[in-house]
Amino acid sequence: MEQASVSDIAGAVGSGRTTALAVADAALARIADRNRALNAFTDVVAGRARARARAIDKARSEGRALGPLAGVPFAVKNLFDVEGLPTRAGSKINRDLPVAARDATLIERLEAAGAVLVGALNMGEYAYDFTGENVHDGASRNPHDLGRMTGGSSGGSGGAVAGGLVPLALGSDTNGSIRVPASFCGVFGLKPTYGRLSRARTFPFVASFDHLGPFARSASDLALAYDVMQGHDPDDPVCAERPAEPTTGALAQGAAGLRVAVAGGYFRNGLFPEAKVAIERVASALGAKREIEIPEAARARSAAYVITAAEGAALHLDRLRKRSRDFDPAVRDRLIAGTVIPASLVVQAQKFRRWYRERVLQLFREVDVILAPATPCAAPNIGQQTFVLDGVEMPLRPNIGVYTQPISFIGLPVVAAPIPVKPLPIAVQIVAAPWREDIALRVAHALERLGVAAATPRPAA
Amino acid sequence: MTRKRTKARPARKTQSRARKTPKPRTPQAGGEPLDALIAAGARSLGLKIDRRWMAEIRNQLTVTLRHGASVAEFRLLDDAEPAPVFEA
Repeated sequence: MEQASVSDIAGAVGSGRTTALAVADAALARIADRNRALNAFTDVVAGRARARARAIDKARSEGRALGPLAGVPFAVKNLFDVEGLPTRAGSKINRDLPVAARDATLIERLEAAGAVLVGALNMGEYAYDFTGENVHDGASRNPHDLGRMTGGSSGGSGGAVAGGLVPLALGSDTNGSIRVPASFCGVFGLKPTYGRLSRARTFPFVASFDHLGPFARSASDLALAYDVMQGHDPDDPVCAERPAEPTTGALAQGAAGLRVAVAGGYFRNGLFPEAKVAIERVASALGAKREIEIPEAARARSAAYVITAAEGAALHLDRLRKRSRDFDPAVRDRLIAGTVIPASLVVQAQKFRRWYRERVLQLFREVDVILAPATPCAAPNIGQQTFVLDGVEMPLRPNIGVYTQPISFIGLPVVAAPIPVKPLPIAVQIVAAPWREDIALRVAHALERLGVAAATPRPAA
Repeated sequence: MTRKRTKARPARKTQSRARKTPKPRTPQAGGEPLDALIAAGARSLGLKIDRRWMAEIRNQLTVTLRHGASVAEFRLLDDAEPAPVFEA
């Protein structure tokens, strides 16, 4: 069952071919065996997982209906509240918080569908990170090459799914923190529309950009998990009052009839060869000949940068006053810089955001899908500080998210689809109009069927 | 209140206007202006900054202000509404 899909596990548990307890035990054994190398998990809730699994097996033995995710083990980035654990959010400081009294909404919804939480996952401190490195817990390690970054900030989420520890994980994405680790680890990731999935009882970063979403080894697994997590939640004021719009049943429609374009201009600059190959493979498979210009994408990234710095600084101001020496220095120095950004720039960035949104939405009158690179390159080495872009040595960390920031800036739904380029995978962003996650998932599923996109999980040696 | 919609402008025109508009005076890296801003901000917000952190804070602020200058030079109508809209 190590590489089994979410639907295969649920089917096996539902039919009695295996038990939820056996599946949970197997996942816990894999974590015990491999987490020393991958450093994906920061907390394992074995007792809770076994109790939950036993309850599912009991329900089956009594003839009660099981959920669509019956017995599926999953884990969450450690900024999700897990009852009984402090929500560390990658930090040292938050470990001193009281333990969470209640699970995050998305954990409750996955467990209501039968999934079994097995633990919490490593992440960059306070999600201000694209690398997956963490000075307190150590770096998450890429299962494809343990010396490489997982990407961040949901580094443990990408590593746990790619490494075969769990088939499903949750992460958060403010500027790219689902899409970047999906790219570096070679798994599928979904960043839904802003406001689609409840963020209740998760630790925030930039309220106006924060999204939550799943990682999995196939588009259909993403869809299964996404479908059961949808729905309004009054505990998150941003969560849209929209009914659930299931996507799983739509996947078989594939990409037929969809108008697909490739993002040009800004999104063609600074690509490493592997990123160019990935985009070309996807565009060719989908017959996408049109190139489309997302207007002012560079400025959109700049505006996202400014808002992130200011909102992040405001969030952490009191911790910066009282416990500045307990931060990761790289995070602390950025946050302190963010405290003195002129308010006029932040307001202008939010005004520009509305202008940009209107312009980009106009594009979706002409196309249904925009393809864009997820990262400029495949996974860099852990600790790497610079890379060479177009012959110029550039700082690595802030530039990993150059292609993700202009998309999440206006909350568009995106599937990061992994393309198995050698020697390391890299993802392509499949971007759709707001509330059209179904379209992005259909395209990702079609690419799998065409043999172009595939997760290539590789357990650590 | 009736609001005029923010008009979309051709990219070329926008760039042309941006060139004619004096760029905001962004403090330059590596010198006193930014250090003074950081120090004054820290004092006003009750932050204690170790002197050894200053170089990296200045670097980070320089990059952020460069991004901010790019945003500030983009011309928007006076009644352009920020993205988050408050509902009473």
